[in-house]
Amino acid sequence: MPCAWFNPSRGAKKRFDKIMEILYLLIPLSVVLIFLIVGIFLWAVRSRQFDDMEGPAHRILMDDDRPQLPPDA
Amino acid sequence: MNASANPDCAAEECFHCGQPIPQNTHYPVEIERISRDMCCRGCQAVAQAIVDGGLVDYYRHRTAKSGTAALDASEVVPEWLRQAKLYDLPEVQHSFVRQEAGEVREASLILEGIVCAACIWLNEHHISSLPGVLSVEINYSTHRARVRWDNARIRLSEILHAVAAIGYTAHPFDPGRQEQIFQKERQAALRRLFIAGIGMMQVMMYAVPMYLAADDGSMPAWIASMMRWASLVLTLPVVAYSALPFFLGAWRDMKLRKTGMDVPVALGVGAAFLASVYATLTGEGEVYFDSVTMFVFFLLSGRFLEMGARRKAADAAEKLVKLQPAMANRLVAYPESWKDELVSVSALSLGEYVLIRPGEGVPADGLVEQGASQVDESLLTGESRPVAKGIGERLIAGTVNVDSSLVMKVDGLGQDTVLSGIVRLLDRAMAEKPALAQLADRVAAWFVLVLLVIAVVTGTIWYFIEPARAFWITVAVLVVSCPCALSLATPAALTAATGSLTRLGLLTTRGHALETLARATHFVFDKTGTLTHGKMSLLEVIPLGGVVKEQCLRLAAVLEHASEHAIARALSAAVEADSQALDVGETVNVPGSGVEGIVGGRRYRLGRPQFAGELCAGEVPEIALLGRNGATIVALADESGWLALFVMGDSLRPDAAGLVAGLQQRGKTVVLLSGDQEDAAQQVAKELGIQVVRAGMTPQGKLDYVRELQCEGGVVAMVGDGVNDAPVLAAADVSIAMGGGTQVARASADMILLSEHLPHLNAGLDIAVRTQHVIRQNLTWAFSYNLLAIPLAALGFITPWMAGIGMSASSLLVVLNALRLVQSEPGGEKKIR
Repeated sequence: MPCAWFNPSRGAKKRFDKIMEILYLLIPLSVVLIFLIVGIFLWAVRSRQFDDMEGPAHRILMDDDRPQLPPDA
Repeated sequence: MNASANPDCAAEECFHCGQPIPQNTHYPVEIERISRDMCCRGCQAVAQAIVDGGLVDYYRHRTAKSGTAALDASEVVPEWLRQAKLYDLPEVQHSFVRQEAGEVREASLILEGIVCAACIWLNEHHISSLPGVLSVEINYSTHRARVRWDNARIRLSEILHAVAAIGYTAHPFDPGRQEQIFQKERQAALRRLFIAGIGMMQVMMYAVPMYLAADDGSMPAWIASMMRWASLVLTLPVVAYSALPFFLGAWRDMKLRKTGMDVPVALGVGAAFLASVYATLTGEGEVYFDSVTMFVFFLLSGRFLEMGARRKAADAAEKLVKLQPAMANRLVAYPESWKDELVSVSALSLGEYVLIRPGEGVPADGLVEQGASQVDESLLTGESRPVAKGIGERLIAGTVNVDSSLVMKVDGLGQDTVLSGIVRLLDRAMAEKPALAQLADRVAAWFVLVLLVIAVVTGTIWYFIEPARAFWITVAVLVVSCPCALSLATPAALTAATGSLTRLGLLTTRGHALETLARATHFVFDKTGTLTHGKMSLLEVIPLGGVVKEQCLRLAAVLEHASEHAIARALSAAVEADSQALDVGETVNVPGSGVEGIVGGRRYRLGRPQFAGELCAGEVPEIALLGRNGATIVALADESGWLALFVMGDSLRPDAAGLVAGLQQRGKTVVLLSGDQEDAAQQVAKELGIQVVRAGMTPQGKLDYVRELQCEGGVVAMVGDGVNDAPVLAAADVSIAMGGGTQVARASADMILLSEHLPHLNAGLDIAVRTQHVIRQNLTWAFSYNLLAIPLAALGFITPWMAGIGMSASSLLVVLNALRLVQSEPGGEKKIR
């Protein structure tokens, strides 16, 4: 029967299943990764990083560098 | 920056605040080796402080000019600084200062005068450079600072003083329980939203391959099973944590024996989730974790945006609480001596005497015991003209004394003040109205009941036909009919429209406002502060003697130079007075009448026509009384005769006529309601083309009039400003307050025109009408979808996974349709590229 995502011969199918065994690792890994990301986000919320949504965008532009030339030169 | 490089050539505007520099003044400050001119000693002192503090970068970063310096260097001990000392007392501090270990303390401050991000930078650097300050954090969106300091090394008053030195004003404030609760709520909402969002994304990653390989069996069973388990693990927190508010709301509704919108949501999420868990555990049937997470995420994002908009409105109201003075000057031994002490208002008691200096707020209700002055009651009446007050007359807490010192005997405090009474009236009016919300709830309740009945009936029938399929078909009915499209239809459109409106400066604070605005048939306007500026300004100069107009204006401005009176300010604003060019002798202020002074050796009087007439012994000219209704006439005379009349009044906003015309074009009835006299109101109505005018209305009268319109079937939109409007605003079907208006009105209005740009109201009406269309389309879609899908599902034609896709697609369609409201450019301000 034709298939949507692959159409292997018998041998190829075996090889494919072998390769796909990596999913045993990858799927749980993706779940762990998501929990990690959520954890980082929760930490960021707790440390009040989302209290001011506008300020940081401006703040980054204001460093203490002095221009090399006087403003009227 | 295009200021001249030549230091001798005076720039035309103040380098610090951008105000024009009066001639013959010279207040230079050297900034980055260029001498810049300032307009006054205050700005000079501030600019010098900024330069000396090594914070010159501020002038490079800023994107807007600063406010004029609050600190007047000529004042020996500024009034507010005396009060700042009070903030060092432990009993005053305990309400807003948090003590940490040892002498370390933390307080929240509200900063005034912040116009751009550079101000934040400047304040942070300046405050943190003070010895003894441990840390300072300023929030750009709320203009609040949190400061930690070592009390052994620096006092709070010194910090406040340091902020004043660079031209800003800082007030300590009590964040209060309300604020803390809001912070907690916002953080919880953010967490819920994020967890739902990331859960949705990842579950969708697992779902897409399963959908693609669903029928042909090309996906090995173990992969499918693993993906289901992974989806289950990720959906669990979304359902158990993110969707918790819906479950709690549904539970509350059930306990009260009613079915709100939370019930179908909780039921849909719960049923779909439990069925999916069952399918995962048994390994048969379909899972729709993706639909569950997506549904929760969409609903939560709508609620989150709505919460932000509502918060902004509440913030504006909160800032105003400060308007009411916290301190009062108690006269300890009145009338024997005038010795006064500064106490907090809460320490006052009935029958005590307080001294109210010019420019100070009235701390409590009471009667004038001594003195005569003008009091600005615009907070209560919306009336911009100050009211004269003499002995025995009533003063109301929150109003501002403008002219000269008054002694008041306190007879109303706290809950018993007039202001508190108005607030209570407002509460009652607001409690009377949630009819629309109830209707929506009733419809939803019926929908849910019908749905439950259908599900039960379907399940029972299928149990007798084919028991194995009964459960899945019942679930399919519940899921396919999941009222997400129904419950998203309105909020999604409202959220999108609210965003567009906010960009126009029209803030929506209540869910029903847009809907009602679109249906409104009558637009009722208050006059003062809404169609007019609400501020006294010079309308016309009528020269009577041989002196030219300009000279009269200059004389008037010079005479009023020292006064803080509203009329004086309007006169000074109209002309750039040059006090050095004219030789000003002594000036005497006669409260309630005017001012008398000697300029260039001649004696002048400026004020009420009668008062000025006494000097020249002349009859008041006819012209002063003719055809100037509603305006205040100020006369200028010298010993030999009349010189000029100044017509002062409240000028119309330039765009008011356009708004009225636009509304009338749409077939709306425009009504002018005013507390002013008949002729003043008629004048305004004539200029704007308003046919229906009601003048001389009391707050109760306005309320009755609006009720009357409503009884006749009209949908009333009230546009107003001022606390006396607040009960009317609350009673109207939809209320709009001007952003610059009296603050209490903001808290009660359904919408707030922050931009104070009247044509935006027209544009807002456009959006409201379009929103109505979108909501109607959404509801039509949601109903027809449900009408089609439920029978199909009940007949067993729809498998649960199809139901899941149908549900998601249906809600997605609704959201995308709503998003059309965001993409359109607001109010004809399309940019041509």
